[in-house]
Amino acid sequence: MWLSPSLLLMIISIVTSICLVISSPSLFISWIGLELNTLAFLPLLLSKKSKLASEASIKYFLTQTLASVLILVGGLWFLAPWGGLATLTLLLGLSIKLGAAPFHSWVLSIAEASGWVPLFALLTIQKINPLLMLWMFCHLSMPFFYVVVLSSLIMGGLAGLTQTSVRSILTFSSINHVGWLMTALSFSLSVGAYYFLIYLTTLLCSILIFHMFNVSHINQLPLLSFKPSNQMLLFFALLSLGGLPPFLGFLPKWMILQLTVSYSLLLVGGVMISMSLVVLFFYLRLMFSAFMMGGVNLTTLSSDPLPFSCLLCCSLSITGGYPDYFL
Amino acid sequence: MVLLMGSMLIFLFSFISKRKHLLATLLSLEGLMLMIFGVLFWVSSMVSFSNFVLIFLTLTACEGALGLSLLVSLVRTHGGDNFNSLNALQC
Repeated sequence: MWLSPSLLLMIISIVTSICLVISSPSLFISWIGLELNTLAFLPLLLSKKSKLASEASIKYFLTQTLASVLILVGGLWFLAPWGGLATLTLLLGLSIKLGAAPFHSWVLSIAEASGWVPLFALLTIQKINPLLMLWMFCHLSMPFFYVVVLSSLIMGGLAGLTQTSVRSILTFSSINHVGWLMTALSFSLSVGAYYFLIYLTTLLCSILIFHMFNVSHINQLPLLSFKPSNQMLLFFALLSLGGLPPFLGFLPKWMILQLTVSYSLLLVGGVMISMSLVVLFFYLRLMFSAFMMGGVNLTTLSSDPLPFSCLLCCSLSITGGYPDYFL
Repeated sequence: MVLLMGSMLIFLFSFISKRKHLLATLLSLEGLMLMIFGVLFWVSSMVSFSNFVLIFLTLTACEGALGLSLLVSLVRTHGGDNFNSLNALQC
């Protein structure tokens, strides 16, 4: 389905928009890339053609066009006498595009409605363009940037505690990760790119497992499969996403914490550490319900072995790629 | 120039406000884009880049067309463009 000509055109357009934003000489050309990104992602949201999908696409369209307008107006105001408002408006527009708190409510609605592949694209690929523009124009020295980063970390951690749908949990963990990513980008591009690539890998691993088992709610996790190996795989994939050592997801967080402390941004560092605990707690709670059905004799469900791509990705995420030599 | 900025803020306020129909939101989006087009044209007559205005206009038209096609898909699934009927997704 994903290689049908229309969707392939959309995927190529999204890649083109990323290339456009990377290689743009000015803010206005990167704005064209952002618009192309929005235009090309909407058919991917509508690929299921249900009532939920059209609602989600309307919400996505309205919020993203508002954000594009704010980015363009912010870019225009750089030339105006009131230049101090320019970076503020620009950062406002970029935060709405990213789904950073306190402008995050649209991501939750859309995440509930979409399938796993559009959700993955929404949470990772759609963030590349705004993050690149953020790196070009904004820095942690701006007070509003500080506000967005801190509220993303806190909201992503605390609001995820009340969620029971797996998609909502992944959305709030993504909002938390956006806080980490924005901090990483304010240090340097390579740190931000490193964090982003590892986040993409760990999130891909978790979403692949949820997609294979068709799990959308905490209630469905006890029925996952009665092979403990599958449950442990999901457990380790989620812990890697949460940033626990010795998994892959710990490395970029360690790097960013070290940079934060060396630049004496202790409030951000402290909030990052405490919210990581909260995020790990709601991953753990997700797996408690999966592990609790150990002693019950239900009819055995057929458990097919996981496909090779899933295992490859999981080995990358969990052990940092070491078993890839053997697989 | 001040008139254009003021009208832009008015259209922005109209885009953000709570409405009954999606079509009104899309109309205020078009008005917003028109005001931005005016500001861009004014600014580009002071500075030397003037090719961006045409590209901006093309993208605005694309966006308007996309908004209308989303309206059509909304009418096909929900029977109308009222915001009250969008109750399937609850945060």
